[in-house]
Amino acid sequence: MTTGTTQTPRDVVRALPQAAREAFLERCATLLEALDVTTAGVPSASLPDTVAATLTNACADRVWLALAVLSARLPDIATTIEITRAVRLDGPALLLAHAITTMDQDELARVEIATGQTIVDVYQTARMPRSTGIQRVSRQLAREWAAHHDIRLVGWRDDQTALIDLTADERNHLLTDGLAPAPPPPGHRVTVVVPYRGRYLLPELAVGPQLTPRLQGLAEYSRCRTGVVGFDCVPLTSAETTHPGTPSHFVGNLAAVRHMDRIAAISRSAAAEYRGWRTMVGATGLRGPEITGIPLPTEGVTPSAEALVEARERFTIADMPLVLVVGTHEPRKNHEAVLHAAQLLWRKGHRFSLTFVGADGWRSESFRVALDDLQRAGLPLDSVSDLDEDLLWAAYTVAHCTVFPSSNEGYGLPVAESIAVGTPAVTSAFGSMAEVAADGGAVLVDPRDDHAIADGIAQLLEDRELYASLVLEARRRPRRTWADYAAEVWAFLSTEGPATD
Amino acid sequence: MSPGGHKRVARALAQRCRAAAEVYLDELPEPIDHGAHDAGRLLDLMVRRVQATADPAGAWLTWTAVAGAFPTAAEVQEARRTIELYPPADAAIWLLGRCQVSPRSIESFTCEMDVLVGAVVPSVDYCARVEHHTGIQRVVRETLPRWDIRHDVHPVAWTDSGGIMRGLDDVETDRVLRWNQQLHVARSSTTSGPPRLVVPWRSNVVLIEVPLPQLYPALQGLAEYSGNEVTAVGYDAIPVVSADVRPYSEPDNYVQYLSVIKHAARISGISVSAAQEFRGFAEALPSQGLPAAVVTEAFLPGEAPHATAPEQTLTERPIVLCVGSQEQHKNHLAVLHAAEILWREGLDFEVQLIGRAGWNAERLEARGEALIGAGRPLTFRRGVHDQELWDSYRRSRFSVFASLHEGYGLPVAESLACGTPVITTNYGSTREIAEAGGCLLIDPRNDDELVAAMRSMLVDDALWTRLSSEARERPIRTWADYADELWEQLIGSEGDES
Repeated sequence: MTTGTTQTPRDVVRALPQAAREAFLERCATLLEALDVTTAGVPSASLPDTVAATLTNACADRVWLALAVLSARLPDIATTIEITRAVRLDGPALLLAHAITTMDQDELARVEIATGQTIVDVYQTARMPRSTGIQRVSRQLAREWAAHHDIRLVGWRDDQTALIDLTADERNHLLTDGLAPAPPPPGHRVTVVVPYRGRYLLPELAVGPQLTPRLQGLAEYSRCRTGVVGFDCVPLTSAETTHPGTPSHFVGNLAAVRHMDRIAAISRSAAAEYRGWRTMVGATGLRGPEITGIPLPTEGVTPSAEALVEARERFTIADMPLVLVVGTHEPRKNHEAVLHAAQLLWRKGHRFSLTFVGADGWRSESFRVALDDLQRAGLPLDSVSDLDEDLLWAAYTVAHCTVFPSSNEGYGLPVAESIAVGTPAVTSAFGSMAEVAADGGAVLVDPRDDHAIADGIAQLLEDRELYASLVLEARRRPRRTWADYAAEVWAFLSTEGPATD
Repeated sequence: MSPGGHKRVARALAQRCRAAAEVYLDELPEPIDHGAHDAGRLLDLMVRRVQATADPAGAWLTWTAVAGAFPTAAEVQEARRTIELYPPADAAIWLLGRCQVSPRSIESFTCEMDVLVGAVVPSVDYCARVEHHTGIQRVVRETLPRWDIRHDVHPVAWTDSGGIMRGLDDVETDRVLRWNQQLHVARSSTTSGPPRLVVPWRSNVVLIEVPLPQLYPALQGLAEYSGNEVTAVGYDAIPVVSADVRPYSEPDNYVQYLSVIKHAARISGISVSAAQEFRGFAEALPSQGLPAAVVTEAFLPGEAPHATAPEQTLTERPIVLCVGSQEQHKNHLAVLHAAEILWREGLDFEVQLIGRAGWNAERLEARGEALIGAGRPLTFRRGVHDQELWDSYRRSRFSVFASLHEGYGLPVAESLACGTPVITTNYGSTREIAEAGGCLLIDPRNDDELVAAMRSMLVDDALWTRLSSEARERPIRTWADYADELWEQLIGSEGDES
């Protein structure tokens, strides 16, 4: 923090290099306009003095807005409080001085205050090359919302200190599956977007030591309605199954989410986890967000004829029924239990082949060793790390059944996808997996009991009547589309008024 | 290894297998006077039993006996699955080889072990080993001596690698059970030889302190699979609930502690607020198919210390006392801000900050230096001993404790026990303490409220007198009260039957 200065704000600004000075004066005008202060007749060089006069004894919300606009970085809560106190004690000159020392001097972004607008933050989804389950959800929501509502799509600047408009390329890629976005051309001037008195919606998981404290400040001070999609609380509640380091990022995210208005969790089970967390938050004297569970949709996709042929060739052995396991190899997914259950069944003389589809994740080594041992022993099992969408749907279709005995899931997408194409699943008898299976098509088991998993698979292999009825149940399930889901999430996150919490 | 070494290892292995077999098997074969043969025969019988029952607790105990270390959760599963699939002789040989390469077993290959059945086993590794004596250690060292007199308890420490529990040596016993007599000071242990390992079986393992991270792998395996009941004192969940005011990577260890206590049967919070944090965590567990622990609360006592200093009189320059480690969530910056506003108003008072510099104290120190430089009567006092602390409470006009998040808020209770009124946070555990009188409550996120409360406390003598007498008249809750309640909540009457 800069302490006492005898210079006027105008003097401080005058000492800046010309480009920085011009950008700063432009931001002063932007700020004053948002605060409804008329600048007519005020010479440009005097704008900092007008800003200072406007901010005398400013409250924290105003200090936050002024810092965000003038420095083109969203301030965190600690900084906002510190500057608010300094303004109270020694006047607004300190705020301007702080904004100038922290401003983006080498970039000098244009700053827009998105007063009254709906901001949708799709940073990871638009910028990162991976395609995770979270990103699929986020992309679908962005597409549906962009089609039906007036929204502004933003991400975070590379330094994760400010929100910026997506480039046209990023927008196209996100909304239409177009080509991967090219980096912005040299000289491209980014527009920093400061949400204010509008809505801020976050359909993905925002993390990072720079990002989440600033997001927390936004939620607290921007006077926006804030809403977020909650995927699960696994790093908090099942940390023994997560990569070290992940919990800190996730818990940092929760610190920001604590200050938001609403969480739309992707299942009732995930909502229950978030409610447990909110009970914990009570110890900080805060209420925490309103929470509801809005289950994800699953639209089954009919695979191409070629993919079906390829899937049969690749994944089935002779006339044996195929048992399919989809998911990353990590302890939470319980794949070693599936291997053990399969061995118990093969020993009893059951005939089936077993295929895993999924990449190696954290602590997949022991699974890999066990799998290799069994393959060497000539047992009918296989593992592929990645499949394109068409072939994955073909695999689901070709499979006799799927097995998904995870210990904790926000949703349990592979169960839903399996049932959506009419393939029965064996899955866990609790949480989101039981929820997904509630409309039929699955056998529920205790995933912590290898014998129960084996029994579940055996039922689907041997009990033809049961199998047929599950297939029928699966085909009769009510259809739920991404459009349905996006509309429900929008309604819950973007509107005020009582929630059915 | 020398032939003598081999013999020692085999003898110890046989002893451990026999100790485990005694509680696990219905019938025991007569001992053979040859360690390796005796161990082999017992191991074969235990493996057969595990195979027949697919019993994870049996796999846990068998692994523990062979390795001289508790298995992790993954190791229990690995052992149970391997034993199920292979002939007993092969499985036993596999287990012997597997445990040999487990890094946490090596130090205890020559150790013998005692299996405690139906016992109450408080885990007190840190309090046994370390001289540090603040919040959690005080709870342990005030509670266990009282339990020890009235009940049959078996406090344990852990081996150096965190592989398994062990008994306490004589100095450690004094450090845990006789701390207030200070018998352990400058003494070294007379206990010699390898430590005696301790294995609880159908017992109650009481996590009365927050274990160090190196114990988590073994504790996770124990809590999930050993069949022992795990109970815990819940101090707070600050690392995951208030992560924004703590070091960024602090949650990584804390969540592994949560992965232990998610298998706990009962948790006793040190305040209603702390209990609420653990209850919230428990509420999240059915989503992963686990039952929620029973969470209760036993409020910590605020026993009056022996204070000798004269109390503050109204004529001296008043002292405003601020006790607590200087960390962001303690909100000291708000107190300095309020003080500066009041100094500028012309009020004459001194602010004393007592406590060590914690994480991210730099901002506070910079602000403090600026104020001191400007001539404000502000002092940072570090390394203050108990007697000095009590005297400071007595000499001060009031204390301020405007923390954003506390499991208990010890300085509030201490100040009140000294008859000194307190300005404190209007929610959570500090609010609970304040209910019996002597406090002004404020929203710690609202500077104006803090300024107004401090001003009142400084200028309104009637208010100050009323709060001071309220503080002196508070009912005294003792450590004996706490120890009894905690026993009732975590162990109950069943603990006395064994």
